[in-house]
Amino acid sequence: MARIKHIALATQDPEATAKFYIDGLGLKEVGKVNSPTAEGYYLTDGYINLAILKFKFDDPATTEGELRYTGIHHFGFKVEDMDEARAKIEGAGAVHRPYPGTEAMEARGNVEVKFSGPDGVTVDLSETGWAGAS
Amino acid sequence: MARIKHIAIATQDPEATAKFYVEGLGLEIAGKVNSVAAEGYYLTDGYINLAVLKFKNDDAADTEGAPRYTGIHHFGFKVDGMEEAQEQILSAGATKKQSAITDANGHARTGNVEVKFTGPDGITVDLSETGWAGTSKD
Repeated sequence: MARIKHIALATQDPEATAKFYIDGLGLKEVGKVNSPTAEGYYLTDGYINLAILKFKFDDPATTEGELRYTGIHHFGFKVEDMDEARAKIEGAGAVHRPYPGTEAMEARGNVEVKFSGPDGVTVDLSETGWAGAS
Repeated sequence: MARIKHIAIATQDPEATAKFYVEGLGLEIAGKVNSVAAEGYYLTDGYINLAVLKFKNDDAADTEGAPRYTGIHHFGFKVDGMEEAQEQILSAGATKKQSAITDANGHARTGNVEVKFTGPDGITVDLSETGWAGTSKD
């Protein structure tokens, strides 16, 4: 079964936001993010990857039909088989979303495939999972 | 340690949104929601509770500085001790979210008491000692 393993928060101040979740909720830093699309931190509670992201331009910041540079942004599922998962989510009405930086993601060892679901919510699928997620 | 156990999505059509996550991602329905704040569904992947909520008023829909009736809305942590967790999150800079429907003692529904906080960027963070429907115990 697909498992929710990733939540992404957008912020203009990744240091302060990461510090809040570390000091206030006990999360741990498992990596820094500096990709073509965003910079920030990967945090974890031991199971879920919480990404704290400062998006670098409008395309990756776009979700739910608008630009969102601050606030809760999207979430993601680890799946066992991308082809099967993709057929299933598209069969349920999701629309695949082309995304910049896919090659860089491949180089990092994690490839997210992004979809828009109901209400425009961005849903990531990943076979490899995210840093710090069990 | 606090564990992320809850994500809430706001929608005007809880049936269609729940159907998408059930059919498209294999989640299961763990319960129906019908509170003073919202109606909808609790879904689960066996570990985390995904709430699909049609909020009933602006107070309940409020997050990040404005009512949000559609889209990803907030998330929540299961904590071991509420008093300790509350002290920790407040000292890290969160403010307690006062609300007509979720007061300082939390609004008890379906055996779960959430206490809501506002963190950086206005993000709403729930804390709960009891956890949410459909979440595993660990």
